[in-house]
Amino acid sequence: MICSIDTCFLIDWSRYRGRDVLKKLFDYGFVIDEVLEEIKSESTLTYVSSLLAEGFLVIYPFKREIEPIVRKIVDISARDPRVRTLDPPEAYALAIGVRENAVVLTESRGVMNIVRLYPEFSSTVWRSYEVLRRAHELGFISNLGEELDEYERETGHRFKKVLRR
Amino acid sequence: MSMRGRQAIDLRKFLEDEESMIERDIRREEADWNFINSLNPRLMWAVKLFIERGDLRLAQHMSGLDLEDFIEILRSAKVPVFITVIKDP
Repeated sequence: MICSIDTCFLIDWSRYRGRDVLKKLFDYGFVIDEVLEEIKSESTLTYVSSLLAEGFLVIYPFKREIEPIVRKIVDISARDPRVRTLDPPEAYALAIGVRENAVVLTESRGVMNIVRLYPEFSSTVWRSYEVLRRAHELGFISNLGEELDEYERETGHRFKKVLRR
Repeated sequence: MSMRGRQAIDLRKFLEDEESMIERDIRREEADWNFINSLNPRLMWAVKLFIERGDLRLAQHMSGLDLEDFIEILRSAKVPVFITVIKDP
């Protein structure tokens, strides 16, 4: 299984002590150079550099071929008020997901809204929650509740449980 | 459009709004408003925009900062940057 990763996911995930679980779930992950250009903090740079050095993160080689998809995604985010603003790093991550059938790793609500509202961009999108849940299902994490608490403490992320109506 | 179709769209919008409201309440509640009000006007309004709308890219562009620098400002302001609403079955 492969993934496509955007900047927000990497920024959030890089602070998590158990971040190596990503390498157990996926064979490798695609990223584009704009994502690398956006990261600046030491924790994110250290994490992303190590993933590149290990060969887990791969720069997507067919970027020009997916530019028409990216253009459509950015256009939709600009004109549809239900979709939050998307910048090229998130749009490319989604376009790679669509093109390569890769799981899109993002915390962007804009990406999730486009996938939900526009069937032509149908793709599997996971936030950190879905990644942790999958890791739990496969036995890489023993206690999901404790791990979510740990993730909150380490990254500042918030998981809010609500009752389904 | 049939009545059934209208109802489906309205329900979807309602669910989206409910999640957005939950997220906004968390951001409002946890934010360090003294810190936010001490920021320069451009940053202050960018942070307030993020608290209200949850649109990270829009607020980042308004701040004039790079993404990680803006996220650091949000963290300093105790505003949760990423929130996941989990629907219990």
